[in-house]
Amino acid sequence: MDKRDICEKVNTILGKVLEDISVPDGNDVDFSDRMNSIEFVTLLISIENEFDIEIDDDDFDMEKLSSVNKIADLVISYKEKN
Amino acid sequence: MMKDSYHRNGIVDLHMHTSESDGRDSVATVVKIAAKNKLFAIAITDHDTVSGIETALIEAKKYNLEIIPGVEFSVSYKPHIHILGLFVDYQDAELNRHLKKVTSSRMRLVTKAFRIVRNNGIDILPQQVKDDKGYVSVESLGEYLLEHQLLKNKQEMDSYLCSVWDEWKNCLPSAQECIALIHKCNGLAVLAHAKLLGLNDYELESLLVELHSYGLDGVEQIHPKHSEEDVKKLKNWTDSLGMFYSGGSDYHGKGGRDIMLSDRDEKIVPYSWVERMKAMLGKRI
Repeated sequence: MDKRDICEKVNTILGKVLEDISVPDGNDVDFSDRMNSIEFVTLLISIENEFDIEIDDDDFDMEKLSSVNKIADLVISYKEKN
Repeated sequence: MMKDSYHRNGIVDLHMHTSESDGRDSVATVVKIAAKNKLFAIAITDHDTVSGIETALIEAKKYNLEIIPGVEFSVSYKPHIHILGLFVDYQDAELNRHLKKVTSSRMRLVTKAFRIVRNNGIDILPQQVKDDKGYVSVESLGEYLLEHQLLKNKQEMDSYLCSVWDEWKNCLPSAQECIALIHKCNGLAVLAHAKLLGLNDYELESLLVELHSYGLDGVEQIHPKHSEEDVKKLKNWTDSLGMFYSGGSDYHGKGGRDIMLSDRDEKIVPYSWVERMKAMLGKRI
């Protein structure tokens, strides 16, 4: 799976989490201010389920995962580790 | 009627949640419904966050509604208790540092709970819990699993999630720390829904005495789950310790506790209680 496919899947998940109201219109757009903590958790759990990874406690930071590209990079780094 | 006496007899609701924590309604909606219910003042008391206060203050100007900045703290105690901070300086740096830490732990532990469940062969997405329960938390996940018979009973649920609960308790402040923090940011500390703690009268009275010794200022008497008998007992204990009364609906929006206090209710919280709190704060300065 390449980065473009991962971004597409992340965007689909994000659309569900944010209920399509305020989905960012670009993979570099920071969406952290559009998301409360519960939505962030929902996003992370959905990402873990979709890509079959477990995100480390150190990466539990809204600022580190605030755009589609940042999440895709994280997923790629976890996939490489596995 | 003179404006002052009208104001004094006005109804307030000092315990309300929004979608900034586990409430179903946005801050703007809660403020709008409160104004429609002819409330004079409301306290926004989301769980371990003050993120909705700024919006509430802006929205409330449209309706001439008074907003009391608040927060409902999760506190480590036997059993786990909730303490409301009312009139807190919601911009206080130490308060925000504490809340950020608790929020971060909550997020980490909710994720851990879903992971445990998934690793035990139950494939469940947060979206399913959100659609069904209205919000995503360890509690709502547990309820979902039991209600959909994905687990046999509460014991099985506890066996899955006990490590999460233990870790959660370790992240929380003690009652002493919580009350000191509330006072540090110029707020008043109020024990929330005391009768929901499952304590007998002796235990509850002892708890109030202990919390009072740490500086607890008031006790929530009016709550949807408190009976008339409960209110009487709490009033006696509160009076004997020289603390004030508080009360609210613990509003969570449709699907949760969804009845806000209003002037149509038998159980009401008068504005005079807020005035007493303000007088107490005034004496501290």
